[in-house]
Amino acid sequence: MPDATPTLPRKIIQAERPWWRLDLADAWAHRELLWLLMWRNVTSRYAQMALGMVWAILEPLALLLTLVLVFGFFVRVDTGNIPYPVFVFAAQIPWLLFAKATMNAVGCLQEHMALVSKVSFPRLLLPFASVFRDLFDSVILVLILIVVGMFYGYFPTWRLIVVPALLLSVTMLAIAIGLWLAGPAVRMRDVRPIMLIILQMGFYFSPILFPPSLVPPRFLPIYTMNPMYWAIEISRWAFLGRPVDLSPSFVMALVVVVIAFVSGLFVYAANERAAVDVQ
Amino acid sequence: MFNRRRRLPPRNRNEVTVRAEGLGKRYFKRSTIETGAADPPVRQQGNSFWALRDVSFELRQGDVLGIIGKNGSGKSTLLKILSGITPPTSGRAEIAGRVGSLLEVGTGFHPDLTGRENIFLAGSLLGVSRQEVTAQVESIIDFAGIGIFIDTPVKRYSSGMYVRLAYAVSALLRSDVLILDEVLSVGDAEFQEKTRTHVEDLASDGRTVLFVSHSMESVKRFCNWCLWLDEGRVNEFGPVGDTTGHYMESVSSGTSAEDIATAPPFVDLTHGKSFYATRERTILTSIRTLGVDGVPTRVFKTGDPITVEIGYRATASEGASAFISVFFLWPNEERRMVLQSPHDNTVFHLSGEGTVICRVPELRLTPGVYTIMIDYGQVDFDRFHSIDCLVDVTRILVVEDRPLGARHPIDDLGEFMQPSQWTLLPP
Repeated sequence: MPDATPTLPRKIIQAERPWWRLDLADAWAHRELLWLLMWRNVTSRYAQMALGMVWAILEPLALLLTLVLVFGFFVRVDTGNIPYPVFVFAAQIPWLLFAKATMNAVGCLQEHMALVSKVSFPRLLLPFASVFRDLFDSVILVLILIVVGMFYGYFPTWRLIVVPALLLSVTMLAIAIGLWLAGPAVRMRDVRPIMLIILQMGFYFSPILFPPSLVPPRFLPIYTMNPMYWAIEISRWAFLGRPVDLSPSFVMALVVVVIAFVSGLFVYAANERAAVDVQ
Repeated sequence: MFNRRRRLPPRNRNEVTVRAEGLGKRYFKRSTIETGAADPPVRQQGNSFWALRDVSFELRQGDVLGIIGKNGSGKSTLLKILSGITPPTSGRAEIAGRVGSLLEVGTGFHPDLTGRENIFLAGSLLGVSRQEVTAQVESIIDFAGIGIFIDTPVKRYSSGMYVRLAYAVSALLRSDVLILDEVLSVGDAEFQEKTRTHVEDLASDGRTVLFVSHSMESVKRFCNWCLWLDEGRVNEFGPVGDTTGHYMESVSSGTSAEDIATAPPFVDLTHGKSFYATRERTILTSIRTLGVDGVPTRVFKTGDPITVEIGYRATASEGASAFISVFFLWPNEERRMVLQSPHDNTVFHLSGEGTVICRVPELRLTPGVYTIMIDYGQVDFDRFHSIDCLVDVTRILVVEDRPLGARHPIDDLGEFMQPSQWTLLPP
């Protein structure tokens, strides 16, 4: 026997993987990769654009301006005593984060197929990396809203401490949906367009453009089961001090998000391995 | 030559680093609803086929394995399984230590990031810690010969620089098992020499290297073991000299001059044989070769015109943005000439049944036997997608008509024969 080499750790490659194995340790070992993928997603979007980071705010602000003109001045939605621009802006922040992050999380496997089909790494990182950019953008929007709010007389209060938790829970919901649908989205190209339609409908159904008091009271028990209802209402509470009444369906919405997220981890793990072979 | 490698007896170290036991991979074909009943190629049952079947072998520290076989024999699938990119359908494999794989040059590289940033990105993909990459970064830059360009975005790199950096990253960040797909044959001669020495050093250091190559020369030079795959199964696994020898014997059978000259120039491609690499749809239906005055033949003289007629059958959507390539290969599958249909704005739009005609006014290949591979693909969002790729569809014989060069036959005439004019000065 020549030099006694220490026995190397063995990696087993086989067909069956028990459904409960998530390989979280492997994902943790690759945490530096997660940061790099996040950073890459943020920087690459603006690399070729003359206006650079301004795009992160220009697009949502243009949308906001349109909504304020149409619904604030033409339609004149009754928002109580809250000025319409901040009323919509406070709701826009969680909604835009949710809508964009969901689309990116659902598309994460397909978008990164070139990488996924050639390099072995924990694919569990992808849904997390793909939503970071949207989280980043929404932080910028929060800062703008604080400035705009002060213009309308809403000064920052202690209530802002819930904003990070709010943004993170919305991101978690988006990731949960992504975990469930990223695999099917590779096999069926229809998944993403369908999601786009659902999100468009959600934009008008959720209390973004109007206060939930306009919803007929008998529908409210169902209406408030939408997790985004709570995200929007809490956001208005945090930024504008608009009272929010946390009913039991708030807890239920929260539980649904957690269940969808945890079950999504297993669904994703089962789908992710087969996704490469579809290509 | 590979004698240098033999200084290290291949099996003097005991630890088994790669063990494959009955590896198999079954792929399901995509919906064939639109195509109607596709002809079942060999290996296919129902709508699935086995790209790899019952592959077993064992490598120890210091082994360098060359994986050879025809296109579509399962080489790349095997590497994908061993790299952990796709799971096997059956069997298992055990790999000791960290696996580094480079299946395509520069995957994981981000064009907008600089070379240095990409080294860290690629390192983190391999699961190497930041400190470890930092410790290696100078030697990687040095090995790749990138120099001052390391802080330039890689999209400005020449393809040579790209390749060198990609290899250096995967090879120098310590992997116990290194998996390479046809990447040692890229890069200039100097870099190839460098990688050769490097692979030798890796092997003598007790690492294990697996690589796929079409070049028998590289396999013989780099490897001590050879795995020959045929239609997804192991045809032979043995010491490199023996196995490459048997492989060469096998590929040159059926290629005698008489065999080719007497075979019909028209070949029907719709009936399944084992000659496909990818057959998602059956688009290409026939091939025929024609010589002088459009006479069908398989025998050509150097300098003759050659026409390749390829029959197709496609629906309008299958035939949109179509690219067709004709490859002329030596019997060992090394590519000697590639003809491509227009790839830019003037792509073909095929619909219904018809023939694509490719004409070369003067065939300049050196005398010998050439096998022809044809590939039908589409471009889908800037990515070329091969749909119907058929290997070894026909064989042609090129003979020398009149001496263009040496009067007496010499062994190596190079790859092309050009007419040449010679002048002596002073006259």
